[in-house]
Amino acid sequence: MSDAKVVLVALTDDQCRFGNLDLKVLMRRALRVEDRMKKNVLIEDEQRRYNIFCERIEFYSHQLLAEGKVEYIDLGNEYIDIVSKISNMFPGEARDFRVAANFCLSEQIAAYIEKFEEIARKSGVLVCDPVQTKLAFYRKAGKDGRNVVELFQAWLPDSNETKTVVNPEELRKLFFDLKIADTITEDRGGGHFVALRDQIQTVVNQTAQKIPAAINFRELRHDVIAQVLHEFVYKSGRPMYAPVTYGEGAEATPFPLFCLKPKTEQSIAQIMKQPILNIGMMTARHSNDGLDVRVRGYWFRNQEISIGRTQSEIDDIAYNKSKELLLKMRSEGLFRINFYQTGFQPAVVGFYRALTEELIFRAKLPVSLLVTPYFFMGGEYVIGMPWS
Amino acid sequence: MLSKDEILRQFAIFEGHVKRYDEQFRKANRLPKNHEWRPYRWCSRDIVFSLMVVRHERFRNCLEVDVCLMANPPQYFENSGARVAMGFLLSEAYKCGTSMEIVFTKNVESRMEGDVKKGRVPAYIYDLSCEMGIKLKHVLEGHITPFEARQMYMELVGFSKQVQEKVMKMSVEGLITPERVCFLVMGGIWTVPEAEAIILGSKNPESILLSSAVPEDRHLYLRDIFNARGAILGGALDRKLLKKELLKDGQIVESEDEETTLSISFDGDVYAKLYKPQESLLVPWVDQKDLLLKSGELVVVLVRARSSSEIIETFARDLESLSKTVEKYKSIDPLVKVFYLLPRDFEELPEQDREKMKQKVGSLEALIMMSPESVDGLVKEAARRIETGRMVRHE
Repeated sequence: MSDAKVVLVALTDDQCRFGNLDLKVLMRRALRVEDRMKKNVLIEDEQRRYNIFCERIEFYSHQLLAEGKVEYIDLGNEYIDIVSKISNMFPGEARDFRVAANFCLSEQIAAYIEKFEEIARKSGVLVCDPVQTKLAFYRKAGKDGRNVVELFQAWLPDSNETKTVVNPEELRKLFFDLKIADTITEDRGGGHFVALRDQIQTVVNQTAQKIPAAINFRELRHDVIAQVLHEFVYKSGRPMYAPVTYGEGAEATPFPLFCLKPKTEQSIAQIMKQPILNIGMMTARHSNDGLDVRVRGYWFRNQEISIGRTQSEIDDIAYNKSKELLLKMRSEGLFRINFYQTGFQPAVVGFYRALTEELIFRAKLPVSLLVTPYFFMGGEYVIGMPWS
Repeated sequence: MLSKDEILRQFAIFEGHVKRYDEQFRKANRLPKNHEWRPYRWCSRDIVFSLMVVRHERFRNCLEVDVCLMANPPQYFENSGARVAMGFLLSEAYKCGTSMEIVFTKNVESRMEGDVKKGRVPAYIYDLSCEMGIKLKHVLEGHITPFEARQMYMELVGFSKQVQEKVMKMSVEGLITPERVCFLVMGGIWTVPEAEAIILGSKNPESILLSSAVPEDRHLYLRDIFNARGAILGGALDRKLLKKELLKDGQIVESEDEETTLSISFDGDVYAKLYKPQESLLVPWVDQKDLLLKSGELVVVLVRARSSSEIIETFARDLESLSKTVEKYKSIDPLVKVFYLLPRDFEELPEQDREKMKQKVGSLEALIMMSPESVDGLVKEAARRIETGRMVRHE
């Protein structure tokens, strides 16, 4: 069984200089790449650059370590498991706090210690020896004004690992007892509307029975997606998050269902007095059909949305972008939007997920947001059900 | 066995699909979407194993099959046509994001029930399921349920019992689905022995198989790369040993389905590959060019995908592992041959160091094997495969 350990080395600013090369400059550049990677634009190029910076930092630090010129400490082979545990429990925060990163500039050590301590405490690993050893090493490095590099060292076989003995028959039984659909579907005909309605209902039922299932929106008409989602969001039922998947199978953020109540005419009377804001869904789509003239602006910039590698990534980008915009709009008064929707399934799903969550947030407040979809249907626009 | 009429009838439907495909896609220079009918022909050299037409039925979220013709050529193993067909159908069902239900239309081995024409699960596929000990409950309705599909996929991939159990354990713990592990192999990202090395040889195989670590999580990413590069180095040796060069008119000819008969397994405790050839073959990548393995001989190869600096750093520890390995396997088979596999980076060490290492390894009755792959190349390949895996369905 393979294994790995981590060794920390503390470098003074002088030790970071190798002729024309300065490791601190490399670290700063790598940090800038980390910031750019968060935007997800040309991610492969950024990752390649990041790897090159990290490799060079590691190479020279290894050299100093081999020459015995630096202070170091061995965190042992448990440390990687601890990092893995933190990252599994709090993936977003672990990345923001750079828990699995391999360097820290001297001027950032104090802030890093604080964040690392916080997340280690939350994950229940603060008392572990490698964590305490790391914190003590970082504190000393911070006091001495040193930079820290964390070196990952080659795996080695570890045959002393204690193996948990599992009864194969028991395991087989547990495996076959895993919840998975063992029924067949029937062709009921009825086209896109009936199909998506049936599909969502099946996923709702199976999720309630803890059987893994997900709504697959791939290649369904964009107007159908919005209309059927509207139906399930405003339908009465036990509020739930339904899992979502796409054609290539990547899982996206679940969609909230049965979570809003239709508004009365009286409650929307105030917002209906507002001027209409015509917004197109995405730039550079159907400009030839006069969409640019019809709308005041676009919700998504095509360039920003089309960067995802999988449909679920696109859904995620659209969802986060929409959440950001809707959050900004909270403080800007009432909005009555006519949303000119063009087809692009993951962007449509991402938008309506963010809109639903925003409307859940505003549910107990007077109606301050009303979105009416206008579906592009080959040159014509069909009005959809309003979301408020 | 299908009647000649039934075969001709399904063949005519297949030809109809091919014609439509040519008109709609090939001539229009357009690629079909998953929900459009797509004809496939699965062959090896001039032998056709299976003809199929499939589409993602997006309304029911299942894979629909309109033609499913299979052949079981006698020169291949039993039910080979059905194996090829099912391998493709299950992988396609997974790739399209379906629930894994497979539905055969009324055109597949059809029959009349009253006035209604109905299809069924093809007889060869039913035979295959019986051979695997899997009970299909909706044969005459023409459906394979997601539960049945899961069992068939696991059996088809051909993992060892030990690996199957580890995959089941990971699934029960909710770490990864068996379908994803199977697809990574059937989809060509990892071979069966490479996947076995990852599953048995790493502490967190699910992290590599799910491609969950990204470069900015440097430690976790490096851990996955280190484990993957070991599996890839072992895979390179598998391919070298499996490759069979046939002589035809004095010329070396390679054939895609002619391989050395060789059993491959993995010992995760010492990170070693075990080989047992069923025919004699030359040992590659050793100093002694004429070293021959006899049929039935056990070979143990300690795989160490290390850079030159890592070789120096860990050599003493590797010797200990090598010594334990020799001891362990000599007690099982006194004639066992043990090797210590390193990448080409070994060549970067000074000659005298290399000679000393060879002597020390030799004193343990083992030999150094040096692969033409370099660690740099292995790292690049590992990153490529992990990145490819990121694009694949996760649940």
